Formats: sequence, C-alpha cells, structure tokens
Amino acid sequence: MKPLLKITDLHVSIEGKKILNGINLTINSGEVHAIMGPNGSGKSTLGNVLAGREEYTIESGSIEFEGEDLLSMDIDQRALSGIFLAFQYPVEIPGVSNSNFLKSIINAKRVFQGLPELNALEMLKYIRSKMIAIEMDENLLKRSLNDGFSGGEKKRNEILQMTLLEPKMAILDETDSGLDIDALRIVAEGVNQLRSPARSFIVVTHYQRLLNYIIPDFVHVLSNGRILATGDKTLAEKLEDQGYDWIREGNSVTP
Amino acid sequence: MAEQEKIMEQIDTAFHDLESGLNGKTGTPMHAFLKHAYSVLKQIEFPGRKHEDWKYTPVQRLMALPYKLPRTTAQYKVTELAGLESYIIPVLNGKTDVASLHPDLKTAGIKISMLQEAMEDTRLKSIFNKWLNPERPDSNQAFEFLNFTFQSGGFFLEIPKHLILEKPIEIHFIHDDPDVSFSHPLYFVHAGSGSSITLIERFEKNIASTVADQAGLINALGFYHLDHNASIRHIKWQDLPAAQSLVYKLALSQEKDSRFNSLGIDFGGETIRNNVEVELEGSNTYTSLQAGFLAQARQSMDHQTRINHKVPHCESHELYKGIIDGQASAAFNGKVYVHPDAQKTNAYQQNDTLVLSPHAVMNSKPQLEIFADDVKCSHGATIGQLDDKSMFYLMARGISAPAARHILKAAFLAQVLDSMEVEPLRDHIRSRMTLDI
Ligand SMILES: Nc1ncnc2c1ncn2[C@@H]1O[C@H](COP(=O)(O)OP(=O)(O)OP(=O)(O)O)[C@@H](O)[C@H]1O
Ligand SMILES: [Mg+2]
Repeated sequence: MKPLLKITDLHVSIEGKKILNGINLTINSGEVHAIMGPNGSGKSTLGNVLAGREEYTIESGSIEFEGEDLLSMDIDQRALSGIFLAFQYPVEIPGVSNSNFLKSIINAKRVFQGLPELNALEMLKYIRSKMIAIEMDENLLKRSLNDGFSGGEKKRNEILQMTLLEPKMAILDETDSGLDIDALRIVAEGVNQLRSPARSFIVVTHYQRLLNYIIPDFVHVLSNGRILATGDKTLAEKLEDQGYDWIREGNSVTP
Repeated sequence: MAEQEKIMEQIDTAFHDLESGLNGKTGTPMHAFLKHAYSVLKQIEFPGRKHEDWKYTPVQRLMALPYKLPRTTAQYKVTELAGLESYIIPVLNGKTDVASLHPDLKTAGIKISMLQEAMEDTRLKSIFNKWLNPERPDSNQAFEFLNFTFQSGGFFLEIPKHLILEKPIEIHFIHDDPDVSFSHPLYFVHAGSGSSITLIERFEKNIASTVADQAGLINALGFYHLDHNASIRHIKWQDLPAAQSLVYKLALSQEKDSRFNSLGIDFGGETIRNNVEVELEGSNTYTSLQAGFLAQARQSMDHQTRINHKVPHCESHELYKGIIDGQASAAFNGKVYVHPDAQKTNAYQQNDTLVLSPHAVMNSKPQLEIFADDVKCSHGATIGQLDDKSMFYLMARGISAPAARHILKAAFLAQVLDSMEVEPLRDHIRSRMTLDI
C-alpha cells in the first residue's frame, strides 16, 4: 500500500539556524502518530513545514503526500488537498467574522471538490451540527476570528474547522494544552469520531493523558530535530514516568 | 511665480465668463459677494510644495488644468440603495437643485434656502457672515475663496430646535460635464439645539451621464454648526470617477453638549484633499472623526484635520485607517490644539496604514500642541503590511492568496466601516470596494 505521507531525510532551517536534522516518517492511511519531545525540539516546525509556512528553508529531503511532491504545492493547495494543521497558537484576526470565515473555508473546499457552494441556511445547519458535537458556544460565531477567544475556545475553534473540512491528514499541534478536563475529553471524542481508514493524524502533545483518549498507533520522540525513538502507546507512558533523559541516540526503541 | 500666474489667468477668464452670464443680475448682494471673494483670492496664492500643510497635495498640477465653468446637468442618477429611505438634496455641478427637494423636509420643519436668498436675510446672514470673511486670508484659504468666487448655487440648511429626524438627509454631489471644468458646492448646516440628524454626503459618478468621463475638480466646502446639545451623525462617501479630483473642507463648530460623529470613506477620484477643521466653542462636547480609505493606481489622498480644544471638558477621537497600493500616495496630518483653558480635555488620535506596494507612499504626522496640564491626550501611528501569520492561517484553510489578501484588507477597514449605522450604504460601500468576503 502506498503511504499517505512520506517524509524522507528532511532538513529544515530558519534564519540560518538548523531546526530539523533529517526527519524520516511514513504515515499510512488510517494511522494515528503521536509526536512528543522537549520544548524547542522542532515539533511545531514540522507541522508548519507540512502546512507550507514559507519562512522555513528546506535544506534537503522530500515530502510526498499521496505520491505527490508536497513541497512544490502552495499553502492553500495543500489544505484543499487534505492537509490540516490545528495551530498550537491560532492566529487572532480582528475584523473577520468567525462565521464568514468558516463559510469561506467550507465553500473554498467544496468548489475545489467540484461541489456546489452551500447556501446560507445549509451552511448554518452544517456548522451548527458540528458545533453541537464539540459543545462549542454558538456565540463564538458572531465574534471576530479567534479575537479575544480564551485558550480553550481557540482550540475548540481549530477542532471545529477540522471537523468541517474533513481532512485526510490532520496535524494537531498541542491541541490539548489549554483545555480543561471536560474539553479535553470532548475534543478527543471529536477526533475519534473522525478516525477512519481514510484519515490519518499526527498528534503533537506533551501529555500522555491525551493519548488515553486518542490511542495512537505509534509514538515518536522528537529531539533536536530528529526522531530519536519510536514505539507504541507504552512509550508515552514510559516518557510520562521517566522523562526524556533516558533516550539517547543509539538506544532507539524503534520496533 | 509663473505657475501661480497661469492659474490666476485661467481663473480670471472663468470669472469673466461667470459675470457675463449674470444677465442683468449684476449689482445684487450676491454679485457683490462674488466680486469681493475674487478680490481676496487675487491677493493670495495657491499653496505650493513648500507649504507645510499642502506639500502632499499636488496643488500646482491640480490647478494647471484649464477649468471652465460647467454647463448645467439636466439629469442625474446614482446607485439606488435598497432599503435606504432618505431625504435627498441634489447638488449638480455645484448648483443645488431645489426643485426636486422632498416636500417632507418642509413638513418636518427643515428650512433650505438658496444662498442668494440667505444673503438677503439678515438673520441668516449674521450666522454665516463670519465664515465668509476670515480675518487674515492666506494660502490655506485659497480653495475657500475659489469656491466663494464661483458661487452659484450653495444652500443653507436649518434644522429646527429639538427636531429628531429618523430618516437621513442625503446630499448628492455630482460633477458631470463634457469639458474640463470645476464646480464649487457650498453648504451651511445649522443644527438647532437638541436636534438630531444623520447627514450623508455622497460624491459619486452620474450613472445617467451622456458624456464621456472628463477631468474635473469638485471644490466642496461645508460649514456645520451644532447648537447646544445638537447631534449629527455625518457620513461622507467618495466614489468619484477616476479622472475627477476633490478638494473638500468640512468646517465644524460645536456648542455646549453637542455631538458630532463623522465617518468618511474615500475610494474613487484622482487627487483627493480632505480638510476637517473643528472648533470646540462650548464645553462637554463629543467629536469623533473616523475615516477609511483605499488609494490605488496613481491616486493621491491627503487628509488634514485640526481640532481646536478651546474650552474645558471636551472629548475628541480620531481614527484614520488607510490602505495604499500601486503607485498611490497618501498623507495624514492631525493637528490637535489644547488651549490653556481647556482643562479635562480628552483627545485621542490614531492613524494606521497598510502599505501594500513598494511604490506606494504614506506620510503620517500627528501634531499635538497641549497647553493645559490636566488633560488626557494620546496619539499613535502605525505603517505596516499585511500580517504574514494571518495570511498563513487563512491559506492553511484553503483560501487562495488573493482572497486572503482581500479578507485582511477588509478586516483592516472593518474597524471603521463596521461602525456605520446606515446599513444599506455600508453594504454598498463594501461591495464597491470589494471588501465583502
Ligand atoms: N521564526 C523563527 N526564528 C528563529 N527561530 C525559530 C523560529 N521559529 C522557530 N524557531 C526555533 O526553532 C526551534 C524549534 O521550534 P518549534 O516551535 O518547532 O519547537 P516545538 O518542538 O514545537 O516546541 P514547544 O514544545 O515549545 O511547542 C526553537 O528553538 C525555536 O526557537
Ligand atoms: Mg510547538
């Protein structure tokens, strides 16, 4: 079977500083990969590079998405093709109404798929149904996009966008941080409902707790821009217990 | 100055044309007024590049055109705004069309007098005489005296005491002529104590025009006076044809407890010069000047404001937001004077600009002169580009780069435009400026 995403020996730098130092990662359809690792190890960088953030310099390596060269695709084309990044720090955009924004992204996707745009009523119904599922306050539709949203509200808004766009490859960058315990469960349920043989996830997190809800197929440890260890969900439990110190290059637990 | 002489020569020709068209109406107070205005105009020069307040408006280039007096336009049409019910005052090529005024205005007690009549009414004359005779005319008033000199159809609008008008009054300013010409709208708005109105000024293209677009200059001058506790919500929407230019002045004086909320949007035209001058005569007034503009191609938009806090306990807010693209240029110069007696003044000024092209130019100059100690005053100016992080966020959701730029431009101006309460006009402006998502 052809992998959904294949990252080969990826080296990335920003402003002359090397951040990713040879990432190899293959993700098949339907898999959930958790990525853990110390602060500053390059987890968000990887997510941003997948989504197409232009500030980063790709020094070498390749990324294939459904067999195509992802690095040559524009940001919006990647999104339309099924890549979704739930931001660690969602951007606040005052003056853009959240509901208009959601409508635009849904219709952009539909146009790309050759489907007719939804009218105002259908749109509202669709958005509402997804909001109810993640218990999100409808008043947030009237507000400006993420503007003044609490940490948890922002994260829910990310999950809402994910459920509306139904991506093939979702990257959740610390979507659990800032969520209270109930919200964590609700968000995790949202993710689990989306799990399907046709959809894969990269879940970046610092806490094993999230992985009790979203059971990963693989857990990777990223450190200094390299994947040092790969295991199953028990690796996350061990990390929770013992921290990162015991992992050194060479004592890889890659199965 | 050779350029000045050339300008004055053309003006002289136009003035003689005007006089010969008076047909026996010479010797009237109106004619005397024109002659007086012209004699003052001849003594002052049009401001040049070196004039501190005019260096960003290409006055010499603007005045170099061989302006004639326009013919009379018979018919005009501007976009009808569904859902907007208002009283319309048409000003066509500088002349107020009294014939088409809405009878309800009269029923509501609103008086409109043509300037010619007002000239002969001692009561009205005493109100506006001081405006017509500034103490020491200088270059700053060149366009005012140009306006007076060619005055042929100004009007005086009186809002009676305590009148609260639900429907807005709209003034339509249209310039439409087969030749290169200028027109000089002049209007006085006198809001009686306790009155409350919404007044919309629309500078737009005549969509019923039968002639090709031609270069033209509208030199508009509006005097507003708010009596005790009067309130005006003022909107100016400028969407002129690309070859027309506008020199605009709004001179405002406010008495005790009055409120003036102004929202101006500039989009069309070639060279645009906006002057807003506010005299706070009575205490406890509120003044808000908000403006948004989009300057593209080779447009030039120059905003000058002056707020004179002369008495205590007044509050003024200014928010100017502009987007400049292409080879356009724009300026904002905001003067705020707080006189020694004007204690407890609150004066806030903010000017934010997005410069989207390497050839676009913005000049921003706050100028606060504060001579009282117990005041709250602040100013700020930012000049920037579209935010990368926001662009990335929108595009990472499948929005194309041009659409994302659109959304961010709209968002930038939304802070100003969203506060426009007249919804049909707001929607129209959004769609004209393609700021709707
Ligand atoms: N724009 C930038 N300019 C300079 N350095 C940057 C920039 N963006 C990221 N970095 C650096 O790259 C490194 C990796 O950052 P990244 O955000 O990918 O880490 P992370 O693993 O997501 O960390 P965290 O767990 O704290 O979210 C950090 O040292 C960071 O300071
Ligand atoms: Mg991170």
